[in-house]
Amino acid sequence: MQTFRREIASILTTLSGSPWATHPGVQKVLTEYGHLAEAARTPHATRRISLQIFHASRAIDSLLAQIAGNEAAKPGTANHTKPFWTLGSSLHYIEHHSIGGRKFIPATKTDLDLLTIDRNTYLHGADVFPTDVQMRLFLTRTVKALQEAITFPM
Amino acid sequence: MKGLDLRSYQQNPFLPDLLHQPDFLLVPELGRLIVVYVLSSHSIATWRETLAAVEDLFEVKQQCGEATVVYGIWMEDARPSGRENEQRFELLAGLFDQIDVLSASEPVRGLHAQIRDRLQLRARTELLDLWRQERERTTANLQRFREKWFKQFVTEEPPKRIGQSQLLRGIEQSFERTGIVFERNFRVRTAKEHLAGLPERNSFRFPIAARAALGHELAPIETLSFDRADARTKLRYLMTKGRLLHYVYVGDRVLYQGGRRRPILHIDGNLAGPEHDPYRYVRSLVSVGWHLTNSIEAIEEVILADL
Repeated sequence: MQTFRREIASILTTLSGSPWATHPGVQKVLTEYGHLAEAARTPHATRRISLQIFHASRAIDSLLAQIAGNEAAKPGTANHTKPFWTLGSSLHYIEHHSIGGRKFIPATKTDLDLLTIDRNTYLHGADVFPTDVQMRLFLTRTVKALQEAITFPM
Repeated sequence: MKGLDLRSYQQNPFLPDLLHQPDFLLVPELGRLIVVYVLSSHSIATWRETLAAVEDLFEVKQQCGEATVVYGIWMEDARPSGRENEQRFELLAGLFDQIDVLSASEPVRGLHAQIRDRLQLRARTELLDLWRQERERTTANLQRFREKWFKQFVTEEPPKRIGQSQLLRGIEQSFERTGIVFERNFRVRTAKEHLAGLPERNSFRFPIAARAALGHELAPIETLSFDRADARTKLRYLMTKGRLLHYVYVGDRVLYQGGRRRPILHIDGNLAGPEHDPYRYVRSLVSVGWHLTNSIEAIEEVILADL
């Protein structure tokens, strides 16, 4: 079983260096990615994978919520004040209103849709765990979505 | 990175959409990323390898944002000597945000000291337009990308491979039959020459170019015999070639010249990417504007679509 420490460390470092890192709401996302990095130390494989899926999902969820919320709060943009954003509602907002004119490319949008399905499968299904290849795919999709999201204008 | 005041750093990172990974990621403070590539005469021994290194720069700017600093450290005792070597170095120096020469005799202590002195580096502003135009162009190309159209390039079946000269003969014979106008050894001038202060002979060369009829734009045709050996260097080179083809230098600015050039890349072999992302390479090549083909009929279709 792989721990994916290198991939996770790259996510954390890239996000820390992006302009979004200075946004107040993104501090918690950075902390969440810190938890994801720490989860790699968990020796028991199934617990480690469960934690990694949990933290990776929460982190991308919260990052997209911050990006969508930041855009929605700008004067003159489609204002959708929400008590909270879900992954689905953030994606819907980005897809329909764009972030400073930018949207996810179709391949990343597909990745994010699949990420949502995977997350639901592994977080809600009893005794269901991904294989190493599936976990790599899950993290790769997370990183690709994150990398595209952090290039959106603030 | 002992002794360096960094918010975060990583040696040998892994970013899945980069064809060639950098040596370090450095975050001097929140919101500022410096990506470090260690370079040497081995990494730019040919023009192909040099353009592959340029692709690394393009990819970082696209994936991590234009404000990301791309810093090259030339790990040799001096700048390269000899005209061609100097020109290759100049091309990189003209595009990277900074390249410093570092003595290879004290690599670790020297590297740390060098990085410490460069933590305040900022991205060069004169190339921001190029990175932005390229992002808009590649994003527009990717908006139209659908995996189902490219299944034949990632097939698991063993690929049929033929030599380039045999392939070109076949293409020429077919063009003659269908009345497609073509030119051998086609050269294209691009922004590359100006970016590096290179002489005109450094224009991009294509084995053949064709057009549907006189008066139409010639479509340059490149061929790629793809196998696993050295695959990434070939891909990185073709990515840069595909990008720079679309830019010209006007006055002191690099300008996108619109979608009038329709470069064709004929693939001989299996272009499947890693197991978790088989369309990785296909997507990249399409994003920079290549029309991928794997048969002579498909080349003709692309050319005749211009009518």
